[in-house]
Amino acid sequence: MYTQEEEPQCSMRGWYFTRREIEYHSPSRRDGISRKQETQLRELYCSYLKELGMRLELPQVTIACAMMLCHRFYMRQSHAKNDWKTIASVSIFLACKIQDTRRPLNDVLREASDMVHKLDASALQYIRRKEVFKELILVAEILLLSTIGFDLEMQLPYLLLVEALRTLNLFPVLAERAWNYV
Amino acid sequence: MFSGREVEWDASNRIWSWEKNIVYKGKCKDTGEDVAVKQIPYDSSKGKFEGIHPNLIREVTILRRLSPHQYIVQFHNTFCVNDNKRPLWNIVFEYLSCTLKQLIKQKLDPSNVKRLIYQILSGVAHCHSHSVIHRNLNSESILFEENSRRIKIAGFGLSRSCSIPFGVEEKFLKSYSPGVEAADISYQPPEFLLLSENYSLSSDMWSVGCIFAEMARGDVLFEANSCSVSQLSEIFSVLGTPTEADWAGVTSYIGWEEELEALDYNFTSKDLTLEALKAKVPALDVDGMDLLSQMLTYNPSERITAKKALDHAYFKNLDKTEL
Repeated sequence: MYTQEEEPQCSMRGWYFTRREIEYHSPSRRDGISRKQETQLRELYCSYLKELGMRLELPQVTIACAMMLCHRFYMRQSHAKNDWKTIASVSIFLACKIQDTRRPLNDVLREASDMVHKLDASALQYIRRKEVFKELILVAEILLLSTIGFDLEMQLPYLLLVEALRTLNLFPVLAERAWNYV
Repeated sequence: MFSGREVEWDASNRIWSWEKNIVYKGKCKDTGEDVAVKQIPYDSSKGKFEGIHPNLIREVTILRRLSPHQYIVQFHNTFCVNDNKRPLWNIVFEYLSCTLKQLIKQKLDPSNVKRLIYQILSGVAHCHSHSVIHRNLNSESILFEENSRRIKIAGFGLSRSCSIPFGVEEKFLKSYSPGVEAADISYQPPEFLLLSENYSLSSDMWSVGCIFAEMARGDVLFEANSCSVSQLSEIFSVLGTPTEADWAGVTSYIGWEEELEALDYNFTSKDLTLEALKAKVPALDVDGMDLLSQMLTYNPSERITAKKALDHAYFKNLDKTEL
C-alpha cells in the first residue's frame, strides 16, 4: 500500500504532537512566524470558524470538525504561504460534507466573504470578487485534502461527554454547560 | 504505486456505471496487475459546482481506515487528473470480476449461502467495529473473488463514520440525503424509508437480512418500483405492519404521517408466525429462519448485531477453517 511508504512520517503516528513539536517545529516557524503570532492566528481562525458556523446554522460537531481540519493543515503547511481565512472557509465547507450537514457552496461563500470583509476592509480585494473567491476555495479544497492525506478520522470529545452525562444522570442545566465547554 | 502515471485503462472497458460515476477495468503498467479505476467527477448537483464530491471523500477516508481486511475490497490509491479544466478524481481498487448478484443468478446451494453470509457478516462486523455504517449494502456492492471464493465488501461512497453522535437534519433528509435517495431502495431498512432521524449500525443489519434472503431464494426479497411508499407496503405485506408496541415512536416519523396516512394505506396486523416470510424463503432451515427474522426486526435497537449474528446457532456446523 502506498500510504505507508509515501506519506510523511507524521501520518504513521497519527495526529498527536508533543508540545515541543507544536511550539518550536511547526511549518510556520520555519517561515519566521513566531510562536506568539501562531497562537494568535490559531485563536483567530477558531473564532472565525465559530462565527461562520453559527451564521450557517451548523451543529457544533461540524464546527469542531472544521477546527480539527485547520489544526491538521497548519501542522503540515505554513501560515506564511496559506492565508488562514481561505483555509478556514474551506475547512467549514469540507466539514459540512464530512458530517452530512451539507451547505451550498454559494451560502458558504456569501457568509465567508461578508465576514472577511468585516475583518479586513482594505486588503483581500480578491475575496470580494465572488468568482475569484470561488475558484480559490475549490483549489484550496484539493490542497487541504491532499495535505492531510484524506485522513479525516478524528476523535471529538462529544461522544465521551454524552456517555458520561448518561451514566452520571446529571441535571440538564449542567449537561448544557458541559456541552458548551467542549 | 498505482498513481496516475502507472495505471492505464481503456475507456471502452467499462465495468459499471451509476449516474456520472464510472468504473473501468485498468492495468498497472509495471506489474500488469488488473485494477478497477472508479472515476468520480466534480459534484455538480443542481447545476452548480460544489467542489469535491462527498462520496469520494467518504469512500477514500473510510477505505483507508478499513483496509486491508480479507472481506473488504483492497484500496490502492486516489489521484486527480484534469478533465476540461475540472479535476476528475480516480480511485484505484483491486479488480474483482464478479458481483454477488451475478453469483446469486447461478443459484447457490445452502452450504454456500451459509459460508457467504458468514463472510458478509464478518466484513460488516469489521466495519461496525470501526464505527462505520455502510448504508448501501446490496448484492451489487458486494463483490466476489473466484480464486479464494471470498466476498469483498465495496461501494463505500455512501458510508459514514458514527464515532460521534449525529442527528440528521430534517431538511438534509429530504434534499441531499444519500442514505435515503441514492442507495438501492430494495435493501433499505424501514427507518430510512420512514425518514427517521436516528439511524445507526443496526440499519446495515436489515440490508444484510435482505441479502441473506436473496441468496437463499435466488431473487430480491422486497422488490418494489423504487418509491419508498410502495417499498414500505411491500415490507409490511410480508412482515405485517409494525405497531407502537413493536417499535416505539414508529407512527411519529415524518414518513409515516406524510406518506402512509396520506395514501390511506391499508394496514395489516403484524404476522407473528412469519408465515409469509417463510413462504418467500422456503430453502432456509429453522435456524436460518430464526437468524433472518432477527435481522429483519422492525425496531432498530432490537435488531441482532453483526457480532452476535456470527455466534448464531445457524453457523454451528460451518467449517470456519475453510472460509
